[in-house]
Amino acid sequence: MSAILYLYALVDGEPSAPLEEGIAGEPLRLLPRGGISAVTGALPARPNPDREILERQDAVVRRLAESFGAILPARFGEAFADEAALAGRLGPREREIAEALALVRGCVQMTLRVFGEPEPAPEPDTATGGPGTRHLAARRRQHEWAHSLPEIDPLRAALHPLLRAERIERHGAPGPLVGTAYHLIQRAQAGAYLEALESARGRIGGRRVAATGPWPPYAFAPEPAP
Amino acid sequence: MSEPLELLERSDISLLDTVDNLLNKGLVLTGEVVIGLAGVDLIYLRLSALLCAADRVLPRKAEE
Repeated sequence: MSAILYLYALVDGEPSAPLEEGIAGEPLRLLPRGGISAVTGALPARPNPDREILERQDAVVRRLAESFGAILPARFGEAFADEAALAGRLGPREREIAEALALVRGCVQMTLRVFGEPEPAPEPDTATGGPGTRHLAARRRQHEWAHSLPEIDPLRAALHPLLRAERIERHGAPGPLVGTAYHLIQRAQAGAYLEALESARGRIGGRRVAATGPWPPYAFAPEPAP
Repeated sequence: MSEPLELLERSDISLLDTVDNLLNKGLVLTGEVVIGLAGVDLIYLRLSALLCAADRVLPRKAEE
């Protein structure tokens, strides 16, 4: 008897191949709700994140990604008491999830890690306004900086025609990893992406980039509700 | 049928990307998943350190 309903991904449409099994060999089930379906498995308990189980979940999600036109992979460990609990969580976010599914349809994610010397963070503007205004402006600059990688702007310009969406995270901590750009591209354009990357690689000075992919579009799934 | 998901060689960096994808990205519907995986922040810190180490240690093909 199973204790939890484990969520692998949200999808729409019908699979082009049998769903097969989940991380514990359990049969996968498609639970439709409106235009969205949840791919789930019944597990005795929430799994612990060790290397083997992460690789198994990755394999399950990649297989599903080939079988559905649009997929939003769940973060590891997403579990619900039962179908009603899952439906309760999905309900209020249906529109947001449908939009995210539309964005990722037919697409894959490329992950571009940037190594080398970071650019210095921008100097604060000579502030105008009161302390509250200055504080908010500083917070906004911090947020923008945390989601920008000027170090690879020439490379991003070369890739831009291929990008359906982009998400950027600066690493922030000491070390050679400057940050990561997550790029959403059409599945058929992975080769063109790598070619564009190779030809533009020399434009970023002494910094290095390492691309992996194609991945299912993990970085383009909605974040937790605010 | 081609195998688009195997287009790139799956190196150690892509193992670390698997960890990044599954623990740090992906759809979150419940706050519990973050709380339930109390070790995730620690794992992600290690991931960052490993990514840096991997860059120094692994011979990369892309040096040309």
